[in-house]
Amino acid sequence: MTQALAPAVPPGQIALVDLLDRLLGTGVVLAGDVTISLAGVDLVRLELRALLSSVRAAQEGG
Amino acid sequence: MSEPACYLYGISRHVGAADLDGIRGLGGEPVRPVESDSGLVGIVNTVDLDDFGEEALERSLQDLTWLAETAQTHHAVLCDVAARAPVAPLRLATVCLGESSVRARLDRSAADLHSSLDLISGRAEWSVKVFAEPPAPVEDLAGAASSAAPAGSGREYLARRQAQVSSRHQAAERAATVANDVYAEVSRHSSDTRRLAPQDARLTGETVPMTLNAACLVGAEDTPAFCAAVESLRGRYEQSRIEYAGPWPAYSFVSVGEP
Repeated sequence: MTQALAPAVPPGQIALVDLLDRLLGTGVVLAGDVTISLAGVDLVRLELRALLSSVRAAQEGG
Repeated sequence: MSEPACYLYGISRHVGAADLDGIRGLGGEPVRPVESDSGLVGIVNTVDLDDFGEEALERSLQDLTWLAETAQTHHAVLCDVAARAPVAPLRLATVCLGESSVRARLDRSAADLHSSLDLISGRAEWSVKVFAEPPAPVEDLAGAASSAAPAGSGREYLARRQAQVSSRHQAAERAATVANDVYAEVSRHSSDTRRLAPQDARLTGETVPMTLNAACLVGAEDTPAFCAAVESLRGRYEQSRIEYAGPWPAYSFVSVGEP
């Protein structure tokens, strides 16, 4: 389950967990016209949900 | 008719349409510059509000697959632009209702954005992470305890517990020392550094905790010395895994706080 989020990366490439760490947490904060809350995005919860749905898909497929 | 919505990737200077030729963004749309009077250039592409309006975004941000694809596209566009000109990355999903709205935002924060761009010019972000040493095997602790008291006695149990507690305490202290030393050493080769929150073990997939998650802003000319310093730290702390990666757009070094 962690392979998808933390692969070994060649130089210059970025692991998804590192990228989301930055894109959700840092970077220039300019309020757009479309206002959304990035604070509500919980990676741990999302990843667990992705894992659960892939397990479910595998069960249904088998 | 209203202007098409713009997804804003980052902010640059001295970048024209020709410089962005061939770069494709979200939905395969061509990436284009939006120039403001303050000498700043927003890097944008057109998006459909059916996908990037408030409701759609609230929903999509809870979808790991969508999030992963959008984040990777955002990153790829910034890398392409960064190869041509310094660019201050924006957070994910900054959407404006038209080019005039983009210009108004750039002009409003122009002073901060210009100083951010001055800071990151010719520099890139690198990540340095430290993981704690693996814990001492339980047999070692039991061995240390049994020499202090006969096996099976209450004293032996207490001694073993004390050995475990003190070993855990020492390991935590040592992990903090290693993390601080690595941070100090990489800071010497960086223009700026930040300590990000260590990542959750469920995301890293590691059995040992991450003790340092540092972002380093490193000048192109300092990069060989920076990498050599990390390699030498790896040799000094063989038991602690030290990872580094880069160069990336300077995500962690641009701060423009809007009121």
